[in-house]
Amino acid sequence: MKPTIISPETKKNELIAISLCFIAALIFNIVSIIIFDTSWIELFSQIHIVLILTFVFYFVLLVLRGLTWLILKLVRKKQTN
Amino acid sequence: MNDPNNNSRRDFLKTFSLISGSTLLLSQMPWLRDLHAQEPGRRIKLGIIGSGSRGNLLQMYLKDIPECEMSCVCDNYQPNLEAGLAIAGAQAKAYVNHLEMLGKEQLDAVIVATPLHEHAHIVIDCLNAGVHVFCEKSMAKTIEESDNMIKAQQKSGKILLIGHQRMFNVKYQRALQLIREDKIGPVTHIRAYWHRNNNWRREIPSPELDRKINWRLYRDYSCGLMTELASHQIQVANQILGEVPLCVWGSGSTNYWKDGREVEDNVSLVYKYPGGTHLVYDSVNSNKHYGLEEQIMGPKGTMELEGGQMWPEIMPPAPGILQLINQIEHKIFDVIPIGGASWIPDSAATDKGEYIWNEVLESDGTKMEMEAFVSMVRENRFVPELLRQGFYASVATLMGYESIQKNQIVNWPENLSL
Repeated sequence: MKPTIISPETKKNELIAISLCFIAALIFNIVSIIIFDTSWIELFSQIHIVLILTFVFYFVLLVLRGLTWLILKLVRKKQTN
Repeated sequence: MNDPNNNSRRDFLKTFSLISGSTLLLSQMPWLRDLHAQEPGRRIKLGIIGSGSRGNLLQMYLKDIPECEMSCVCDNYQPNLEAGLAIAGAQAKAYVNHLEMLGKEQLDAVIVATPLHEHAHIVIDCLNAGVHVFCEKSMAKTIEESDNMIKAQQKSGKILLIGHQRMFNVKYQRALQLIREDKIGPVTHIRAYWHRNNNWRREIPSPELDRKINWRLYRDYSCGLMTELASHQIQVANQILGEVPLCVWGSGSTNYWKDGREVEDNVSLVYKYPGGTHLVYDSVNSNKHYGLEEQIMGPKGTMELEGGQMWPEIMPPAPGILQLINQIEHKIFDVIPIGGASWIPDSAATDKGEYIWNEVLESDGTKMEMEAFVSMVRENRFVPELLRQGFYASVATLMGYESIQKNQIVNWPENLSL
């Protein structure tokens, strides 16, 4: 099997993406606590849901990035032709 | 060397002291004060009167208590007497007449576990002889006999404890504490039942022994399901409500075990308490699907004491993040109704609820009750509330039996001695 090489720049980008997803999930939890007037303890007690949500956001972002890459590729191909 | 029995006792007492630490609980159940570890010292001398199956079980628990010795056993049925002596040990003397035993032995206390019709006169004889008494429930066969037992206790000043083991069951007392802390709101309704699917008739070696061995089936000796089973749960209802019933409506029949027995094989009763709270009770001998339970209901929740569970009426809200996810999900995926049912069925709740007491209990409270009795005898400490509970449960039970027999409402009797 051919070895896959991930460049340091890609690694950095992916870490930034997942951190942004985590912050988004955290904001989602804070907003829900304010809207439903629940206890601020949920900021810590619901951290497992926040982590799950982080990966859900990251997956959605991955799909969106994939679609963007596909569309851009098609556009560039058309322009070359 | 550590004695495992003593360790187990200490653990159990520790558990009880944890929940009995609250002043509120002690004011409700002052007998818990008596449940402290025994200091080594004088062993009390006990006599066993009635060493049938229940008497033998009590003896097994007593055997584990080092502060007492079973010095004699009395039973007028030879196989029971032999079984009792085998448990009591080689030092125990045998008697067939309790008066002879009281005359010859210097006893501190006796355990009375005879058939119901024998309770009153034996207990009164023992109290008059200056001996402390533990008597298995139900107290007596009639209200008059129960009252006479109270008079004998008052005259002698000796301890009389009626065996209602749920008063010494950690799970039940924890539930009572939660009820007093308003966890389910004021108790507005109690439903209790005890269902078995068994004959109740025991094997007999010869026909003339039928009434002696199967005494529970005949009205001369027993009040059937009421005194054998209902009395336990009526005591629980009285204790939880902190009241005695005003009146009772009851009905009973023999609709399955038509084998010559005189007592009912199914009973249904409604007890009315002050404030309009009812205890709805039934007991059958022809189906065991629902087993036994006491369901305590209030506007804020429900408790099932036998199962040891509790259900709040209003569930605590889900965490905010789950509510928000749920809301978004509903907005995206829900179908918008243009018409629907005008009535939602009041189906029973299906959630698992919370446990009142998490640990598996070693005993139903009988062992603790024996410990408490030995402790009370050693310290010559009479706990009036315990006797009151036993007496009131007996009176309410016998009111129910009377209502079934007379097919009429029976009111709480006046002029009782306690």
